[in-house]
Amino acid sequence: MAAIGIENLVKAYGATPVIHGVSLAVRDGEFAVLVGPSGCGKSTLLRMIAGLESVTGGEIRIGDRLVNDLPPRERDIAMVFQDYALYPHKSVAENIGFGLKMRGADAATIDRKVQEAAQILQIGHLLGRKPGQLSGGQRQRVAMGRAIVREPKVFLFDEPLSNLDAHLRAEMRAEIKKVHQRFGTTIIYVTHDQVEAMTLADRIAILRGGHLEQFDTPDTIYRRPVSTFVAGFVGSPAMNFIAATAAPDGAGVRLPGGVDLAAPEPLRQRIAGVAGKAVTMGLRPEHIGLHAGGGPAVPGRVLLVEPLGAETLALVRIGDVEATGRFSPESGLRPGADIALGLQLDRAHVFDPDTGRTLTAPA
Amino acid sequence: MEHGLLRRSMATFGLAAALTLGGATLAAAQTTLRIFTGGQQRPDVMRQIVDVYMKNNPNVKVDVEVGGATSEQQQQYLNTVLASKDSALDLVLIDVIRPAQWSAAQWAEPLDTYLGAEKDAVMARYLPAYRAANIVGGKVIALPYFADAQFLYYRKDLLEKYGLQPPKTWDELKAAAQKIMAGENNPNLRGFETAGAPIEGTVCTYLVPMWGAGEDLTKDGKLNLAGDAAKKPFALWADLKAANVTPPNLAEIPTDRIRQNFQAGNLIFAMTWGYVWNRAQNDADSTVKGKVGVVPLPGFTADKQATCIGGWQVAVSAFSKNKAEAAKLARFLSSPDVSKMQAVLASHLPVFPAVYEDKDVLAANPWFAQALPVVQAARSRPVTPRYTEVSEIIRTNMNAFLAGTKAADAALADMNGRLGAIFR
Amino acid sequence: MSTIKHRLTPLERSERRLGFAMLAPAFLLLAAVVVYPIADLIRASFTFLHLAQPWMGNPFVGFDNYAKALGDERFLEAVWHTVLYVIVTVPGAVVVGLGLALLANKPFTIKWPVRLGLLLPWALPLVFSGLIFRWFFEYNQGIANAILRGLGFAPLNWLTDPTLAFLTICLAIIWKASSFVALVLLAGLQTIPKSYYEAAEVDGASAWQQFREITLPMLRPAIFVALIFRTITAIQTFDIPYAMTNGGPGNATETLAMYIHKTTVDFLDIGYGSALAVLMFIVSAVITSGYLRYTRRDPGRH
Repeated sequence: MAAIGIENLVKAYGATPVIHGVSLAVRDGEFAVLVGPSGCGKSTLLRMIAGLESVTGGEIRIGDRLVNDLPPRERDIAMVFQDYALYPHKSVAENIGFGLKMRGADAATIDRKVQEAAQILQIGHLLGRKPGQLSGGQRQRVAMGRAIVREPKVFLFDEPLSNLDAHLRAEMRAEIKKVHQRFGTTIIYVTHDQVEAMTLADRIAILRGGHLEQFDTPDTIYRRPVSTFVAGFVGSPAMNFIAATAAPDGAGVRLPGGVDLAAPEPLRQRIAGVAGKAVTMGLRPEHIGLHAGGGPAVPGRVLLVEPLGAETLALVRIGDVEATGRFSPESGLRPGADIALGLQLDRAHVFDPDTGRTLTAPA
Repeated sequence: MEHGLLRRSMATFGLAAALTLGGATLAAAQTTLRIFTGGQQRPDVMRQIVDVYMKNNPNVKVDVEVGGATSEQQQQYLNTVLASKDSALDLVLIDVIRPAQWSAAQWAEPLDTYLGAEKDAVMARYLPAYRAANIVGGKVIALPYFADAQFLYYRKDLLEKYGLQPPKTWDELKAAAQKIMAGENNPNLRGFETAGAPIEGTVCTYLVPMWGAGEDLTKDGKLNLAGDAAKKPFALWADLKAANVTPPNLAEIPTDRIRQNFQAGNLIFAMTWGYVWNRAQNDADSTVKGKVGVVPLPGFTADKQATCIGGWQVAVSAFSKNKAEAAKLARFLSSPDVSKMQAVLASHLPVFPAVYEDKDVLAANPWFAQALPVVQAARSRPVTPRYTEVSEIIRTNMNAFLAGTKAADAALADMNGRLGAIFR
Repeated sequence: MSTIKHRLTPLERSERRLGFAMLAPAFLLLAAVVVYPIADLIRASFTFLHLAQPWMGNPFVGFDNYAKALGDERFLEAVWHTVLYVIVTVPGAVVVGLGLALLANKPFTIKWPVRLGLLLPWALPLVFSGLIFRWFFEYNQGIANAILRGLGFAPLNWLTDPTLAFLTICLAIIWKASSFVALVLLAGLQTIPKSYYEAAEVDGASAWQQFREITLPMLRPAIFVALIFRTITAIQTFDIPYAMTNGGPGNATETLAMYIHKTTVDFLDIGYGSALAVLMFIVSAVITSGYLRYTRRDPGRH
């Protein structure tokens, strides 16, 4: 087990930089998830940690060792690939034991460790089969078995669940989490799926265009996103962004279409420095609901209704703004109906409309 | 296109023009003849000859198709063309060893009817050996184009330098070669070469010493390999090889390689055919111009010299669609005029005794005066419809022996076995 | 494959009829250019047919030609030489071809020189290759002997010593054939996902271990294809020895195909030559079916 320190890491292909000086400190035993849209550099970063891509600039440390120039086999890591990289001509047992065999372990040790790993992953009955005879989920378990059997300092996962259907994905997420809890090994996990990131990670690193946007716990990321990018990436349905104007006296905001809303105290503080200017206001769907006393009622019209069973999502219009809100399934919304909405503006985020950076996040 | 042009011309120029051009259209209704010749039988000279023919026979156009360099390569191609009864070729130049096979396979159109009453008179003019070779079963299968025989070529300058006479026996040749090689001390200079590769010429490499020992491959139609004469060729070539007179790679030397080595100045003695004279004297890259002597081949004794008869014949294909025109061309190609032309242009030996005494011919080839008796005494390789097989058996065994992979006894035993199955 | 039989629906039946109709031209063409000649070859092999002896006609002689072949020392020698060519040049070409394929599969920034070097021997006509190697090994003018002389050694009779001639021919065949093998194997190499090597790299496999544990087993189907093709062409070896030695010295390097060619095209003994050709055909078919059976039994091909 080891911490991973990344300092000012740069990667360029020829003259084209793809990672622009990323710094990231993953603690020993931590489950860190690298997330971001495709092309953000998350897989490249992972492959640089694995040693499969060379380092253009900066440093990578695993434990105390600078590993910039070490070949993968000397980094004491194990990696699970997106396509699992299971050898079709080898049995499941041979696939799992491959790394041990390559490192010269004796047959008895290999057999014992393979059995142990298979038991943990509940694939003992599959050991004699070839990967071609396995289902997607079973292959995923085998790929994990191959990683854990080596007992490395670090596990690297490169989008391991992206080839599975939704149901299996949930199951395997739990499996991965169990493995982490059992071994406590440092994990760096790459995904483009924010749900995976939120559910698995101790801390999430959100990458965008080769830059690190934010590296923090899922809760912080969700509640205190540093930018519209992070705010929009995390949470489903996504945060509503509303182009608003802070009132010159700093007492409220005006929405497009001339809807004036009074700002409660926390929001008032946030917009204090931008009085009279345009802002991007961020409001998560769960903070838009039916008016139930408390604040002022805001008139709105229902445009679309999506009942999900446990809750109902609805697209509503407030003035000229369209926003998604989260409603109780009993609220009986009908498209076209005019309703009174309650907005929890104390939970609203305010971003600089030009840079997308947060002005001050809600607590 | 030609006709379209003619029609337009008629419209434009009227009746008078039409009459003249009408004459031209008649002439344009030509017969095209295609003649096949080997690459080593001087196709350039053949073209000059057919140009003369076309000038005198404006209704005939002759295309010359050039085949492979060696007799076997040509015959392989011809075998596939003729076995499929292809009419593409009207006339074919064939090796003197082939008429029997061509007659048996019915590939050659017998020329008797085309010669008509003149047949006997025409055939009587040729050298007897060629008359005999081209009449199979009483029918004229082909007409002789040029004669040939193997001679001993030697470096006049080197023999003079060491005060030597051209050798009359193999022992004299060995001694002369050794003396010159020792004196010249040139690692590239070799004493003697004859054909040793598995090709047709290598058959003569076996037969010439056998004849020199007084026997022939067959006697009264039966195979005749039991006696000592059959072993003589092996002994001779083994002796010359042991004396380093022949090069170690004799087994990879085909006919034309001998000429190349001789012309390059790397060879003292060469056992080869008539065409080499002209090339050695005239080729731009020849280093031996004016240094070449030609004499009859040596024998085991000076009075028993033997040589292989060669030469090429014109046959009319049995599948030709223009046999009458082809026969006319064949007669022209086999005429004394053409014989003389070839002698002057290519040092091809004439098939008529008289041409050997022609002043122009002798001016180009002074050694022709000596060549006539050699050609007259030259002997034929076995005459059989299965000659290809016979040839292959002799040359592969000879080649294996020369390469040192087969002992004389084993080679002879193999020849006995296989040839025995043919000459039953 | 399903063993359940079911009645064809009218649509399926009409589709099947259409399928047969669309295949018919190809079948007819195959029949004309493959089936008919083979049938005629087999027929001729049971007759006496010697074009230099047309007066003997074309009588049926039963198995005479086959009996003759089994007693024909030269035929047996040619078979033996052919077997030797197969034994030496098939593995030889596969080993060299594998090396070339691995080289060509390396991530060079400029790939075309390697690939051109691969394609050139393959694109060259066989006889050309034979002639090139003949020039190479000729006694007087050849490069091989020039090198030997330059190093102070005695020149060798490359083409007229039976063992050396066999080896030089094998060399020429391997040079010529390995580029084809390399192309087949290169195609196979490029189907192996890069992640297999990356996973092995992470797992600690050395380059040699990666080759043995991944490349070689993953290439097995491609190697089999190459082996089958190479074996069949090796059984039919003709052009290169024909151009280099014409079977010499004597007939020490003569192959079965050369002997068949000589018997039919040179000697015009079509009947006997046909029997020899049928025998060669049977040998090829037996070896090919053996290979196919082996590959079909192989479970690692999924």
